[in-house]
Amino acid sequence: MDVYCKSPPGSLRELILPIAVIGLTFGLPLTGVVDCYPFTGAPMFNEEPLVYCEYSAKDGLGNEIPLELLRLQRIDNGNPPGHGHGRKPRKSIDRLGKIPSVDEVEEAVWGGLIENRMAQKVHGSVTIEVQVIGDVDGNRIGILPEKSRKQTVWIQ
Amino acid sequence: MNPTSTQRLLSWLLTRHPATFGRLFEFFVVFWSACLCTYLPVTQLTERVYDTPQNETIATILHPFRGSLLSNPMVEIGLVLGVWVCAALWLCQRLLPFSSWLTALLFTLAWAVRLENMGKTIHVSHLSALLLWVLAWWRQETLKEFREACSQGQSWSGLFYPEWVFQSCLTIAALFYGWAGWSKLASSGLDWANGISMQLWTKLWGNPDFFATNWVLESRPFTIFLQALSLALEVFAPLAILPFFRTWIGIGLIGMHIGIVTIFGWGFHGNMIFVALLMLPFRQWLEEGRLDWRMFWNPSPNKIPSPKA
Repeated sequence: MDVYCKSPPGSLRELILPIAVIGLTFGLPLTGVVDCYPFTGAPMFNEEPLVYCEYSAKDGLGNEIPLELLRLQRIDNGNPPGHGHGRKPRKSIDRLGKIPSVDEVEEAVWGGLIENRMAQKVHGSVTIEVQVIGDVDGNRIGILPEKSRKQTVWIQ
Repeated sequence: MNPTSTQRLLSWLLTRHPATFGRLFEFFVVFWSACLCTYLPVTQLTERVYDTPQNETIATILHPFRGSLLSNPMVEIGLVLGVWVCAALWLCQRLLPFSSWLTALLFTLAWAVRLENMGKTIHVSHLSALLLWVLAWWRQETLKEFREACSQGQSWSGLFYPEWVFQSCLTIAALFYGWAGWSKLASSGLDWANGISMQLWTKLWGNPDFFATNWVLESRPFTIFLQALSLALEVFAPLAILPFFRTWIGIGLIGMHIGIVTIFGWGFHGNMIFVALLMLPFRQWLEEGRLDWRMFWNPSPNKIPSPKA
């Protein structure tokens, strides 16, 4: 590029910081440190989930229960959990790509009810509807009826 | 690399150019960084978590200092206010190089404090932080020349843009996208571009009223094509340091970002502008005088000095 220049060239000292920043940007993820802000191995959306679950919960009288109270709320935001954040997320079984078992849902619901002191307020039971969303016809995604289910957790 | 080519490389990196492009790029990086900080106070009540245990893994450079002070929300607000003040001073060319160093430092700390207090992560501010450090170093290293020119009343024509500033910013941006692609390959392999995962993300977080959202949800082949193209662009993004590939990779990454911003609304607008400025031939156009950004508020051609004057 033919450009105007009247200033003398700088010294090698000028390259110290750029080399350090470029070195860390390239090298830090190679050491296994996925995220150390401001350096990152950019792991966003690096997984390939094939399904996810939508939950809804009702008590024994048919009233909706907020999912946060039952550890069923959405916490996955596309970044692999555990990297790049200083605190653990609030407990939840939400994880893209995973369909929780009946026991896992029951354990989460009990954990949420006890933690939030809700066991006496749900009128005998909590009914969870688990809708599994995934490939329906090779072209689109939608609810997979054969994998979706309803389960009731009885509170005694 | 023999000594002669090393010398030539170093000499090329240290060559100074007029800062026509550098000023424009500096403006966008500093302005966007200040804008990005508004996200922090706005989402303080919704994004921060206070009552969960600390994560075991390293999250930020503040990892060794995790504790009660960092979890105080006023620390984050104070840092954001500091970024706004210092960024304004930097853009007004006041108190250099302190304003530039403090902008880079406070921006990095503000986002590090936020990430230390989150239960999930986001990657909208990493590239801005790294570019701020390089630009602050640039202003430090050319300060003497700039001050001399200022004292002669020729502040802008006395600001020079060493080649290493552009090449460093370009390399950092290219590596950022390169890692995004390499981590997908390492985690999922070529199967990452299966189309289903992108349809799931679009169903979860896509704007349902946007026409392209429906295209993604209604056509697996189209989605596979988009995913495969994104993966290829990211994996080969570091080739953008070579002029031959730069524009094409830039166009592809900008297209990818337009899709991300319009369908998902995630805050990568700044990254898209950085890629456009670094990978499309804006610098060449500006330095050769084929494009003069001052014409927008100073349209008189007599007032625009020729770059060879």
